Amino acid sequence: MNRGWIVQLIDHDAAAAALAEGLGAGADFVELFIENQKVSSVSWLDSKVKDIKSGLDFGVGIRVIFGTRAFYGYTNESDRDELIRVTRQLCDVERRAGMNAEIQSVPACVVMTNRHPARLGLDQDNRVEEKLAWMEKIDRACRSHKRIAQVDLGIHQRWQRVQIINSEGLNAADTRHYCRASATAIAADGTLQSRAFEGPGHLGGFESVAALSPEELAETITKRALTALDAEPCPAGPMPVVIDSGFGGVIFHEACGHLLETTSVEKKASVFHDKMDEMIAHPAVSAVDDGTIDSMWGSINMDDEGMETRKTRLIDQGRLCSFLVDRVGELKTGYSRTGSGRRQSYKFPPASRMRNTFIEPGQHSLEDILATVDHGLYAKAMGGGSVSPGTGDFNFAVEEAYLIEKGRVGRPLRGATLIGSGPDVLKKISMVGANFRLTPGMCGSVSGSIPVTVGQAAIKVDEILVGGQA
Amino acid sequence: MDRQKKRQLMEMALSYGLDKGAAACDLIWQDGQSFTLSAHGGGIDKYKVAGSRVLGVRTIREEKIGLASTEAATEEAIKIMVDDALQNSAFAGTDPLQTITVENSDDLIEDGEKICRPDTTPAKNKIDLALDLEKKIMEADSKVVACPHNGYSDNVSEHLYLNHLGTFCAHRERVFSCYTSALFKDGSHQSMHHKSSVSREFAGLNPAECVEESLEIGRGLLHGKPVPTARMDVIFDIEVWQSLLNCFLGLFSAKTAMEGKNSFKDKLGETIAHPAFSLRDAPMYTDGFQHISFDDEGMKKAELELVEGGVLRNFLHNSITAAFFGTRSTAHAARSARTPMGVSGSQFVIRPGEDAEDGLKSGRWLQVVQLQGLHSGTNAISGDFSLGATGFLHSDGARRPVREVTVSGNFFDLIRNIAGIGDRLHSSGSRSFFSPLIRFSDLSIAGS
Repeated sequence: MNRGWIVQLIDHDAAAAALAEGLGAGADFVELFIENQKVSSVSWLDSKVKDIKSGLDFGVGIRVIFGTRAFYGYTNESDRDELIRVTRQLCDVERRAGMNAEIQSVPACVVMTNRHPARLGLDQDNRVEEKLAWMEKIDRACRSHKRIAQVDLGIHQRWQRVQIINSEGLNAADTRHYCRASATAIAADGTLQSRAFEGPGHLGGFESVAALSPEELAETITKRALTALDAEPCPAGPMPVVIDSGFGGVIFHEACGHLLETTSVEKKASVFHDKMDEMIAHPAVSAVDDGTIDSMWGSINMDDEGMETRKTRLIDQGRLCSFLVDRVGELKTGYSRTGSGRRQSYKFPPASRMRNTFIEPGQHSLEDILATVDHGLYAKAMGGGSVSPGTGDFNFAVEEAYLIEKGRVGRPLRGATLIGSGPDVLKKISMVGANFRLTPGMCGSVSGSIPVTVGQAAIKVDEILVGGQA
Repeated sequence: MDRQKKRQLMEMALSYGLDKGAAACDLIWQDGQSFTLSAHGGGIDKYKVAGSRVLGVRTIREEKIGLASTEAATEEAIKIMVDDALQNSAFAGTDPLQTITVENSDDLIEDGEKICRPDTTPAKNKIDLALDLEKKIMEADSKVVACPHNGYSDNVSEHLYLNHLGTFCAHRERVFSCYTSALFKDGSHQSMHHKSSVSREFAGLNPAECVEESLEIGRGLLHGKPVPTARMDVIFDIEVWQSLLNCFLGLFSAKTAMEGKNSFKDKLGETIAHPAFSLRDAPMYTDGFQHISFDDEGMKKAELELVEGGVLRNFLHNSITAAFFGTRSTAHAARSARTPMGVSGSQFVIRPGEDAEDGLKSGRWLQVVQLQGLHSGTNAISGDFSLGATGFLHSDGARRPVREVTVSGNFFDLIRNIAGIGDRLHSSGSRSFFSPLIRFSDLSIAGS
């Protein structure tokens, strides 16, 4: 029985009344974002079940735009009076007299074709027993290594249905199934401890996680945690850095991708705001943001403004060729929308955000790239990072790092951090490898935390400041 | 919806859960209304009014825990939530340590004027405040090119707790805040700084301080450069120190100790910090903005010494960790309507030392005003941290701006190697953390 959906997404007459209220107050644009979501989380710790929890979320986000100014509100109620009340409150700031509402009804709802179907979504059975069995295998495999002291696991699934109705005649609905595992191994030896994390996830149901080998995942995090446990402190100072594929792409995401979002560009808070068609990167660098890849964690059918998703080329052989543009970004910058308006939930107005963002692969093998470095750092697995949109300054942790000595991978290092400026690093990427890989992550910004994918092949940055031990 | 109606719905959920076979049950209700706006380019940029609520249930049946939540507050939705919790519990392992036992004789209601004053301020005044903040920033200096983060918000929220033993607690509060920032540019040099202010009433906000500090620090950092790699003493500004300490507060949690993730686990009664370092949690300090007098098991809170004279004295406990370690809960149970039971402090206070601030700031030292990468560059287990830093290098009264350096070290060494603790208490901008200035010895600074 499909008991998750206890609330109709919206009554169309109520929606029409809210649109009319906004237009009647002189708004140029009114939009309702209705969200109904079921979430489930199963977690494992100490070789046993930690928590099993579930939840139902429902709310309506209302956005009115006067000129280029957007006003946003949300509520858990969807009745006519409440929608009108919130819309009226939003319009009070810029209310224009003498306007007439023209919305009598909303058109029939167009349901987006789901290009990322889920076989085992939360609209089906939750399969808690299968999830627990999958996690138990990881736990057992990790703990077969005696220095693994703790294993922390989870499977997080959600089923989000959204409907977007706006005053331009749009009425579109979409369904998104997400499933992601989280796996952390903690290694300990005396007072020393280290940890390693992997978080595979897909736009799909539990079938995507169930297809992964628990033993291989266990081996990956165990090896990394044990390597870090035995690592020496990282030397500090500027040096060449080879950043490997997959989550290594977080460097582009944080240091450059955020600066290409019109959320920053429109305020001139991005160093790239006036650099369209200019060379902003080494000619070896081409980069895209692609929302269309099958079942990829950062893919979407339509964005959270109801626009069908697409592939957006950002940098072509070093030259800036597009920003990521949402509706307000289009109004403020003049660049056309790119289907990039995204939000965590109805509690956030949409903003220009990334989807699956990556540097396109080049020709070099990892060995070729390493061979060009006499003394430097090999960042095999990156941790998270952050960037200041105004300055492009970034900071990344390296979860698995090695010293490169005379072109070869040497001893493991711990505590490595990469620090620098996005625009500067883009120009110092001198080699791009062929071992391309994408990795999922969660990206936090003005419109909340959303699923994104980062990726690249191995790259060589000629010089980055490495933080470690002086 | 008034509090009585919310309580009725919670009592209905309790009765339903017990009827369906739960041996024990408790609920958390959280709701609020907020108003947020930002100003940019001389007009309103973002404007948000919000109403939200969520109800969460925890059921215990045959020593198994079930959790579920709902944002819909109809009787039907609430019953489905309870059913889901009981279904979830069927797959859980037994957890004999987790019980619901707090039985207060009286309701604990906290909604007085000290923390929840009525607000009749017209929206126009709030808009004007945000616009004025930006205007003052943009007009202050020709090198200011933008004011990217600039706005105002207020929020009234209610947090209710009810369990099957009749314990009922309610906390209602209102918070006002404003913030601004200044982005400077001069040729290829850029810098930015921001500052916020909070208050329990609109008139208590301090926008002038936000403007002044954003300009002063942002301007000062504009021509910052890396310093040569070296080891030196560091003083973190209060906001930065709070952020760094937050990354390691898990060390004072009995939950992380119970889970084997806490390097302080076996250190109770041992010296873990400099003898002048004392840290306590002060939830009952009503001028603080994290004040609340009950935890999420309905237990009355009290002040708790964590570190006294450098010696680890206590962990933060809920009833689960207390049962595990054979001690009493310190009333630090923390759970939202959506999350399982955890442990959390509220308002941390570091005791002032005896060093005059002028003396603390003598010689050569690095003042850190911004840290980058806190969520990724710290390891709460090993204590290692390596973070991007921005600030000022002070040398015998002179200062020069510093950018693009990393400060790295180990938290366990950091709190042992203290060169001095100031004699004056400072409050963070969020008024949830109180600390004197602390001069930390000999940290690793990686620069040019």
